[in-house]
Amino acid sequence: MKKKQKVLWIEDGARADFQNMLGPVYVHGEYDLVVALDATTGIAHLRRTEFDVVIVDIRIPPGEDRNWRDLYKRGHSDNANARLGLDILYGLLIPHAARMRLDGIPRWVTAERFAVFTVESKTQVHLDLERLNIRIYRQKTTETTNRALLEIIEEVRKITSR
Amino acid sequence: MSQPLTLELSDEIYAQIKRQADKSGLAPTEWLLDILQNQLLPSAGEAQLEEGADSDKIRRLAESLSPFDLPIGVYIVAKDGRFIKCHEKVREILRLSQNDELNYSILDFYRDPEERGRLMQRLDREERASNRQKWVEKEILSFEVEGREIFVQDHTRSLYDPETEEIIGYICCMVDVTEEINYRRLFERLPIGVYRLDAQDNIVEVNKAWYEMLGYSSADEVKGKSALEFYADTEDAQEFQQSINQQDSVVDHRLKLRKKNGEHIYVSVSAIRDKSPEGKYTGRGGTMMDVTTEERYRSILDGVPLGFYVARLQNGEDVVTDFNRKFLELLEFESEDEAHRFKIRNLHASNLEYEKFMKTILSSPTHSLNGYKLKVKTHKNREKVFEINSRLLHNSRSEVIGRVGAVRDITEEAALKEKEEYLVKKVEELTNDIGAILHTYASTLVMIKQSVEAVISSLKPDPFEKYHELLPQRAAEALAGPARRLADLLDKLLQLAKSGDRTIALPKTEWAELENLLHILRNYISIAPFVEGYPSILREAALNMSTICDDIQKGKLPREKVREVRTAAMELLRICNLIALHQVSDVTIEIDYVLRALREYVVTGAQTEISKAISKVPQLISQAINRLQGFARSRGVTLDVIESSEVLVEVAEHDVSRAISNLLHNAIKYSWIRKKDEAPWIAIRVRTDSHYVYIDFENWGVPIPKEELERELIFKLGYRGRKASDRGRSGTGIGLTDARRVAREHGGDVIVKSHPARSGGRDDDYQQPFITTATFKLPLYPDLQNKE
Repeated sequence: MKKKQKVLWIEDGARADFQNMLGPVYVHGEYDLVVALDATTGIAHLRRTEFDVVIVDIRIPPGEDRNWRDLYKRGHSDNANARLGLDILYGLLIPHAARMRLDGIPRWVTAERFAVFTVESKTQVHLDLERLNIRIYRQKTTETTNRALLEIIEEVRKITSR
Repeated sequence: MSQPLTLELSDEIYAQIKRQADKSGLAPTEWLLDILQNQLLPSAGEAQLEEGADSDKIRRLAESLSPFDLPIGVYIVAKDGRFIKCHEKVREILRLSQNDELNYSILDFYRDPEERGRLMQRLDREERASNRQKWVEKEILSFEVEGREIFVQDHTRSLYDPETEEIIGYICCMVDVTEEINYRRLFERLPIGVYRLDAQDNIVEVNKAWYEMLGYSSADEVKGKSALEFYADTEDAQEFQQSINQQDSVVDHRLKLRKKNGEHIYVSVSAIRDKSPEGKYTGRGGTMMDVTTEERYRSILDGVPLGFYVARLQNGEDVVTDFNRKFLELLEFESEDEAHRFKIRNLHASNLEYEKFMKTILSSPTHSLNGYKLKVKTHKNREKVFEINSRLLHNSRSEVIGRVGAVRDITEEAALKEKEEYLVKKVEELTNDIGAILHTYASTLVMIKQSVEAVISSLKPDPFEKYHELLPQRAAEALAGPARRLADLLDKLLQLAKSGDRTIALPKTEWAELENLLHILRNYISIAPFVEGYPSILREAALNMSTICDDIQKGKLPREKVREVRTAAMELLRICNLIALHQVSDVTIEIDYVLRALREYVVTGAQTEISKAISKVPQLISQAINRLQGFARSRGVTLDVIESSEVLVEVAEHDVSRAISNLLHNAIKYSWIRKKDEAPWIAIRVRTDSHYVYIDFENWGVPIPKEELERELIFKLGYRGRKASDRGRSGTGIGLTDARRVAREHGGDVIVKSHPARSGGRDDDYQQPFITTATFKLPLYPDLQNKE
């Protein structure tokens, strides 16, 4: 039996607003999708498991970890400004430029495995994406179909399988 | 008999004496003494006078005085003052012609004849005291000659008849000191202080104005004192000394001095340095004016943050003539010289501004402007905005001769004002826009809600019909049967396909896909990360199943079996669709409230006046309940008013009703079911104390983390709590902010508490239910308290 690709989706809206995007991925059968609803859970999964694809939302809550909560309180005391997804990406990919120091970053972590899926427009994040060298970006809009998550996973796979 | 004689001589007389003395080879004083003591006075004393003819005796005596042509005013008068003999100099002083004096008495010249009496009395007193003949010296007498007041310095001594030892006349000496006296008078009477210091800067001489200025009663009080004693600040003294040493003279130097009583005064000093022929400092003299009032005004003028100016009309142009320091600063002049005579027209940002200003001030009935906003151009060509208060100046013929004014820099204020006006305009536009948008959205939401309801009713039977809110668990329960049935039927189909050569009905990949779908249908609960994911997975599986069923080649598999599978897939899809539709319906109701709350928040924020009325608290609660009854019903939440009180409050009813609704809305939204098959409920209580009424909304459900309460994050605009999206609940983070704002505008507040519902539960375990109480506090209407 073919080994399933491991996918992590860090997205606080996965349970509610974006739940319809789960079905196509699970039913596709090739992907073992793990969902993290906050930064703490996302990092815990990243430390525990090697993922082939990691899809990150920009605005996510901190979760239970005190450090993430402190960071969230310090600069982003409301959801509108919480951009902890970017802090995760910087922490993993450019540690020296990160606000959050992440110890024990797994070796498998490379920019090409990462994608950003967010409500923020490209103009709001393009500088960060360039700096982080993340090539796959998708904005959540009303035109986003419930296959969008699957499509992103496949785009990343295309790059990593070259 | 000889007495020492002291004379103060004018330069001219001294020069004549000196010439005579030089001829005799004597010093001027020796020569003069010799004349007076050895020739003039002894001759007078030794003269033999004939009996019965005093006048003649005196005349003869006088004629015997050979040196009578001295260039000093010597004269002899009889006891009654008649002239017996006088020197030419006396005639000159008294404007008398030769021998004319014999027709006059010295009394004819006294401005105050009694003064002569006083002089004689003094002479008599002194002679008696010393028991010998005595000169009364340096008596300044005021004479009137040809209608003009003159002053003479007089020396008088009695002439005694040697026989009778009676006074028969007086020998006198006069020097015209009119000029000196006039100068002295001027010195004394000058309204400005005049002073002279010696080489050690000790006071030698001051006039009345000077000592009075410093609070002293006489010149003697200050003579001999060091000038340093009068400085309030020793640095001032040093600076002044330096100035006068460098420039020999100073003009209008401002100093702070200390008066006798310790008070400080400001003076303007002009002084000249005295020096010896070698250039050595020998003292200084000068004048001093009290400028305390001026300095006080100046310090006020320089202290206030206003620029004051006076402009005068010169050759048709207003030019700046007077100003304070702030004026220079505001208009960026580097020095007073730069500002002086500056054409005021050039300080206006443009000619148009200038013309407009002039037109406005000239058309004002009082020829004045207050609070006029003017764009100006500073000397450094920078544009600023000033507020001007100005008045035109007129001459006696009511012609405009200039203007006076005060200016204030309001550049930043004006910019802020402009920005504020822009923002107000923008907010008004936004308010209108939001109103219009929300109006449209409200209609759209109605359309969506009705369409969804229509579709739901077309998909009957609806397993969720009896529920007010579609909770994920209920959805999961409704999905379990159809998913199992589809899995069973698919399993049978797959088994059937494996038996016999029926696999040709589909490509291999699709059989594999069906196997995968069976696996998903059997295991979707473990595959899905959470219960909310079930419908999405099962819908996708059902859709795929349906598509594959369509691909099965006809005649290769029993049609009935395929139809059963397809029917089961469609049933599962129907349930999934019903779930989605109910979710949309629930969200529509939620969004409807959120959008209305948003609109009211924005519109209320733009209101400037709130009209209050006296309202009954239960009525306000009823309004909130009515407003949210539909929402509560949709969520299956019961609203229970447990305790109430007919108290009154004075409030903006609409706002308070909305604020209370916000709290009730949250309570409904974040309620969990306490027991299976029992609807969640909200407890509403009204409490009072002597000043306030407290309306409590208590719910059982979603916790509010301790830190969010402690740091009052929940009241922050746009903030949504960590647990606020529990089970997909949407929101804006406006409700509590709005409620507290309204409460505080009414002198009240909103207080929120949240603690574990079960006793012994950890207060940081947010998986358990919490009891949350939101309290709306309002001041009681005072009349009611008075009645009580």
